[in-house]
Amino acid sequence: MRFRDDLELRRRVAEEAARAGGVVHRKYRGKKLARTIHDGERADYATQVDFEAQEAVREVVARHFPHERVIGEEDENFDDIAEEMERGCWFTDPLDGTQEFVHGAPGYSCIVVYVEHGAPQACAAYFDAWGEMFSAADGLGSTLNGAPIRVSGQQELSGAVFSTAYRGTEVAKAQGFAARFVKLVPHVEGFRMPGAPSVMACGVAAGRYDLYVYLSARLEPPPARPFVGQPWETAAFILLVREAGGAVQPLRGEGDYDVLGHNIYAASPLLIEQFRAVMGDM
Amino acid sequence: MDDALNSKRRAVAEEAARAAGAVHMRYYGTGIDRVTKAWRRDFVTKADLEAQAAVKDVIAAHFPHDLVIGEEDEDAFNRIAASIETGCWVTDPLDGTAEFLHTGAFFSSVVSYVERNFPLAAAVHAPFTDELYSAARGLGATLNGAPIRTSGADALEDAMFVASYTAPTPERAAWFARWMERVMPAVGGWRMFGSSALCAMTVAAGRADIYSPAPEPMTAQPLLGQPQKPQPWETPAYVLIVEEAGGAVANIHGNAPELLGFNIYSASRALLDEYLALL
Repeated sequence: MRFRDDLELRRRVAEEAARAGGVVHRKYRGKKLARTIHDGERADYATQVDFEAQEAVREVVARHFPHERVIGEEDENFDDIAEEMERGCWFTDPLDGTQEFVHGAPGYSCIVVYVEHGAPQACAAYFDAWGEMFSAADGLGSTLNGAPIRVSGQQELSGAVFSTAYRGTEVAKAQGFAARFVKLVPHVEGFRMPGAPSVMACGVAAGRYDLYVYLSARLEPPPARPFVGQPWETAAFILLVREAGGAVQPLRGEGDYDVLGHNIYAASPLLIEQFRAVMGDM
Repeated sequence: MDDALNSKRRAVAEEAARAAGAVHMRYYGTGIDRVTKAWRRDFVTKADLEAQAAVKDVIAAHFPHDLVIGEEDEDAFNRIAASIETGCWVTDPLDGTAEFLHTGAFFSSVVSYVERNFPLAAAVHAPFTDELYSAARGLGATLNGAPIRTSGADALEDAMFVASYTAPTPERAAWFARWMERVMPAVGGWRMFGSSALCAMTVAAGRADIYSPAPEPMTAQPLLGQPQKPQPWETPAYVLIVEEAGGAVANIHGNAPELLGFNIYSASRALLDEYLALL
């Protein structure tokens, strides 16, 4: 646990950096962009905006913490990530919701988070098109545009609004997703796929959704990566949801949460229990 | 076609949709009661009822002799079916009631005027994001006053596909899943929002490329059947606004849009045809 003043400062820096990413988003909004495909998957790509926003985040962090490393989704070498997370490092997903962005939809954000001792300490997610700044710091709560937010507190799966996302072009993957949809959907009140992960995680933190879980989470890491998850967004989501009074559990395995893997984000621990009872091992 | 009259109808539709949106926001997040309708996930609140009254008040102030039929009226479907030839206003005073009750962002009011089976003016207001979509026949579509156009996308493999789902039974879920398995691998992105109005308006605004309803079990052509129950209090607005934004709208057989049935809303005719061919 860090000192309160330090956490407050890091939260402000995360906000400032996320806003700087948002300035880059605005500059390119509505413009035609070339795509860099990730792992040969045509639905997964980055653009010049991702790279430029990542640089904007780095500049802000470097101004306040010149000796600290900023690890971005668009980086290529993640070999020492566990050590970095222990020692203290920043993560950024400079443009979460690239697909929304290139389609001119408003649901995209810039995410910045500081991790130390393997745990998220302070973070921000900024949605430029909506003017929504979510932030959180360990023990200090979650806010939306400065006002405290709370999860819905929903306790019953049958009254819950579930949110998830899907990306991919393989038929087998779509079949797996569809099978889980059939299993789950009779047990929930609403099933939503609003787009970017940050829309869902911030949505759970703000009480807009009750649950957020991937139904087709990777089991194996992608090529040249030592982990299956997306720590540049996951670390922020864990903090935002927990600090808003919500519950987080690793989708697979032990521990309070898994920064390098997939998690279940929920308005209450009871929802996670009921979700697992319906879905079994995933 | 009377452009001046349709322009006035559009302005009245906008005012009425805004009045309904003001009712939504008065009750937003206040934890109001729900009354279940036909099945567990279909319910009405006093926000629906008061928003409908607000829509009717606005229209009555400008067109006191016009008929207004809302989703919450008795026998709304049959009354609309009997009046879309002679002329009537139709409204879904709160589309996305679940989204509204769960303090989500995507709920809206929908108002349109229909005559000779043809939508002539319409507005959709999403009060949480303060977005007002409207159109008048032949006069274009706007979002908060600025003209909007569909994306023009014509390739399914890169298209952002929007689906909506309100199936109450496991059987329906299974049919929906079959459709998902077929479509998901063929498109660029798949989204499901909590309000059908938002699904249609994202296509009109060029933010998504195609919106199609889910298929229905009881049909000879399983993947092209009539899905769920028709929503004629909202459909005319979607048809008009997407068409006026340059998009293509057709029924599930690729023919002219049906105000009393289901339609596919697309950024272009080529995209719509490619999707129908996939099914």
